[in-house]
Amino acid sequence: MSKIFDKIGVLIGYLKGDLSKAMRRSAQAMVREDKDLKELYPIVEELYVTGQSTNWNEARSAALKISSQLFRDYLKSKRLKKTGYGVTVFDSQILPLPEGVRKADVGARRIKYRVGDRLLDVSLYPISSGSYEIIGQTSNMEGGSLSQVILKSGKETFTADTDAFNIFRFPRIPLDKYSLYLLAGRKRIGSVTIEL
Amino acid sequence: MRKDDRIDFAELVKQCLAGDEKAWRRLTLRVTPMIFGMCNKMRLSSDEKYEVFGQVMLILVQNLARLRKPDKLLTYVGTIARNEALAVIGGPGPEDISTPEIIERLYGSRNLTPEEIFGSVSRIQAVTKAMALLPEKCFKLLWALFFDSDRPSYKEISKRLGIPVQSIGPTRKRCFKRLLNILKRNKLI
Repeated sequence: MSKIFDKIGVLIGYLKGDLSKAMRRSAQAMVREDKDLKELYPIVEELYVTGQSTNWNEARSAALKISSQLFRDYLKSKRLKKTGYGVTVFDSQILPLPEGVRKADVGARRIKYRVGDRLLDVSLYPISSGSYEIIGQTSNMEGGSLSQVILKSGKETFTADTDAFNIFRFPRIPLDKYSLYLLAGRKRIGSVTIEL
Repeated sequence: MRKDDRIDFAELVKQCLAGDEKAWRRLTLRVTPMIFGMCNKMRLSSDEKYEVFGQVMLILVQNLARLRKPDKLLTYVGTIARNEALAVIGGPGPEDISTPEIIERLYGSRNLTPEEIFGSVSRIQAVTKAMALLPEKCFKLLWALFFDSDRPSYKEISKRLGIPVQSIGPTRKRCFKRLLNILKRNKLI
């Protein structure tokens, strides 16, 4: 059994296509004839194929960014339980771009938050180099329909009413760090942070 | 390989529960191959994969206190990832894994049996789960050998792991032995 582990290098070389024709044939024979190696080969192959299926360096970095943000939001939401602080679960700005695609400042950004049982979906559209249009919607509105949304930075406050589908829109919001408050009637039912 | 090189999930979870972000990042790295690997098998788009990832990590952090045993934690992550990915594809639950739409998303037009589809997702779940249970050095070595998109040289790997170049082969051998043992012990193969 222990000898088969010496042959892993050959299996990796075989999967990577690094072996000569003769060596490939010999590797295939090895896998066919050795019961233990036969058992190990699908595992090495699975790791190899999985490794090839994604740019893992980018995925790792994006996963860590999203996960860290989520963790910080979650801790904050526990501290601010009464105000229903939302947790970021998706932010398109953090995702790696597909291969061959250049970063553009005109692309829309999507952020998803979980505010208690509610899902808040926000889309940000750049309309100038210093401002965004913000369109958002909440779903699963048990415990009250959304009536108003307030965006507050250190300098300014913006208010938008929501429609029957819980959709809201801010036509032009300058770049800044904002707190977004969700209101049902006069009651605050949740808040999230957005940095433009 | 030293005994203290083993990953202590109970300790990691305890640190996460105490608000330690570094511990949470370590935990994230251990479960990322499983979540993305399963999503890849289900042919989710990049956005869909990250949506599933965010959902899984949120459910995980909300339930951490109940999941101190590594096996339980990793099985839990696998189950949520599978359910969230199926929800994205459109299937209401794991029973519907063989619906035509899901088959199409998973494997194009090839007509696969439900066993084949189930097997493919289960296999990646099992292998990445076993990988997550490996000691730190083995986890890093397997990552460098199979997952690092920069394809690091043995010299680079030796520098990262703090082991001589000539030790990489024997270390790889030991790591695969451990991986296989974990898979067998947990009846994953």
